[in-house]
Amino acid sequence: MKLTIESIAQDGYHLICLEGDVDTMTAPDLLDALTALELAALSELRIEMAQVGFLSSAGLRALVFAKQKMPHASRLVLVGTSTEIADVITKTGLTQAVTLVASHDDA
Amino acid sequence: MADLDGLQPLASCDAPTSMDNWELFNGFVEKHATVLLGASKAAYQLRLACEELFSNIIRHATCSDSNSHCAHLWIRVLKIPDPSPALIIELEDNGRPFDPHFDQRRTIDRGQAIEDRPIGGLGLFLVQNSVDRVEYAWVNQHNRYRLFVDLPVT
Repeated sequence: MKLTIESIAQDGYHLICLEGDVDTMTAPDLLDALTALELAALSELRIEMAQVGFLSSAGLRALVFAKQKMPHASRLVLVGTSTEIADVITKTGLTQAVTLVASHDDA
Repeated sequence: MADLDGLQPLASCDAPTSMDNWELFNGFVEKHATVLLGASKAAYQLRLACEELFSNIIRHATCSDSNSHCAHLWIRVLKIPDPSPALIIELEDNGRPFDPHFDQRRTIDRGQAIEDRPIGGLGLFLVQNSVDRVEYAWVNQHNRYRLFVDLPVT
């Protein structure tokens, strides 16, 4: 399945909307989109996950890469993550690096 | 090591270990995992474990067979009947030997600061922790991985 990526500067944060699967084939596209941002200057990066059906370790590495480049006090927020993907994030201990919320109102 | 002699595959597919066949490999597993496990967490995790192994195999399985141009991957779906029913996805490739040493792998340090996180190892960690059991063997000059998902006794 293809991955559609939309990158939008918002007031106070940057939003990346994903639709599709983030796997070995598509994760490089996500990494490209993240690399194009000035991560070191971001206080908050939100990723819309509601339309993401699958996230492999390649996708997780892209998220880790982004958080490692962002300032220590910054927030990486995943919005609308499925239960299955949230379980994987929890299992790998990455909940210390990302904030999982159900909707933008909760961010 | 589970003895699966005599079990006939429910389904199988095979193709060269190329990213050109990425959709074929993953689509095959997704289809059969969903048919046999339903749209469940177990089906998702089995798909995840297979995706991680496909990625490894395609990247690293350069061919050890001088008669072939590149490595080849065979996928089989097997089912162990009662009294210990299980669904098995068997992956076999004729690339170079690659033993992931699943029995010796250390777990991830969940408390480790994100800045200090190593990049490697995450994929094989997910393979091992997404199914009930995983086995590796070097058999007849092939790498053979078996992923087991326990099924309820009928």
